[in-house]
Amino acid sequence: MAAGDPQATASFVRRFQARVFGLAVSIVGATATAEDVAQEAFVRAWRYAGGYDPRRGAVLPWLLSITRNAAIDAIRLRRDRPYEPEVMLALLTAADNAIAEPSDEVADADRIRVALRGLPLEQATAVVLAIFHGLTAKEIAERQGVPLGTVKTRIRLGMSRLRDHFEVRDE
Amino acid sequence: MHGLLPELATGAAAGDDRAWALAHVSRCQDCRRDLNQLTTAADAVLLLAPSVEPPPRFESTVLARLDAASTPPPRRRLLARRRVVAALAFAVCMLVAAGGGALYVQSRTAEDRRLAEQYRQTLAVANGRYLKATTLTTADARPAGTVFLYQGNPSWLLVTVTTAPADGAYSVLAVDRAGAAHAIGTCQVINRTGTFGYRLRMAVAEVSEIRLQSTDALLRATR
Repeated sequence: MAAGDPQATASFVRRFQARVFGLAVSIVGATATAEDVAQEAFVRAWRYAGGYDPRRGAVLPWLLSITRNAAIDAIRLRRDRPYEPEVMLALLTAADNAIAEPSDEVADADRIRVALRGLPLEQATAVVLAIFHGLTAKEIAERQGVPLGTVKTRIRLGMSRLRDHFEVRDE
Repeated sequence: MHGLLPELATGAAAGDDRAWALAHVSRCQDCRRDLNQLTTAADAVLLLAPSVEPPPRFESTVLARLDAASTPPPRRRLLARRRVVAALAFAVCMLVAAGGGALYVQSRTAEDRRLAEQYRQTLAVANGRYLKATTLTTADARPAGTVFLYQGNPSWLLVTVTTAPADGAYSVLAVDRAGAAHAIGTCQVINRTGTFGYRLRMAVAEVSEIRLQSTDALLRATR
């Protein structure tokens, strides 16, 4: 894709379109907006493909990160209302989300799914609101009617536990 | 500082915290390593989104959009990257100055390259896409400061006022491409100077102008 090979680009889009569109749908909810977001994600990926460094991580997380950013931009611009965090949590932790992609990503997804399920609901919700909805700690505090310090603590504890799962893998 | 890293990794850090934390991370290897690990975990959460087949003709629509967009020539890309690097190097100077510190660059070119490399890494770690800098000018076109616009998650702007024509409370407004002005916040200029960070609730690409409006003066930064 970075080299501008049309066939490689088509293969790239075909291979990842369901993952990209799935993430866009998970964040913005509305299908028409999700399609715009997914298209925009591929355009951005194509634009920044030259800066992608395979040593820093696999393609899929990089592409999904771009998709997430495009989705959050769309939510802000169009004022779409994303899924409620409880709905999204149920979606994310469902067992039948297993992906048939490279094995490292399957292992990462399984590990993070178990970790997310194991978090107290308030920590998981704060993490999901930050990562998928693009909300700041202050916005999460206002939305949930809890003190800012409480939200910061929830994010810190939640992310520490999620990170620990990756550190276990690396040992 | 460590308490801020999870917020930085998830995008939950507010604009001013984020600017400060990024500046720190660029200088601190331990925090950079921690942030890398946390960002990896945050990115892995995205893997949990289920696969959903897009509507028919999605692939052909994407390919048509890519065809329509021309590939920037390598030289242009290189120049664009150099401009970003220069802006980032400048931004770190402004951020440090904002904290009241004095940054002395002993070896100008070597130090700038080091700073720029650190900021390139920081941008990549925190999913930032780019940082733009534009001059803030008075009504009679005299320079009055700088506005930095960061496109990331979240996006933010940093306003550094160096020579305002008047002290006082300035309303900060982002004007979009359609000409609509969106209130961002208020800054208090004292002794004609001040540095302020804000969350930007629109894409940087949508911003056509940043205005600082007080009862006595108007400052503008156009993109």
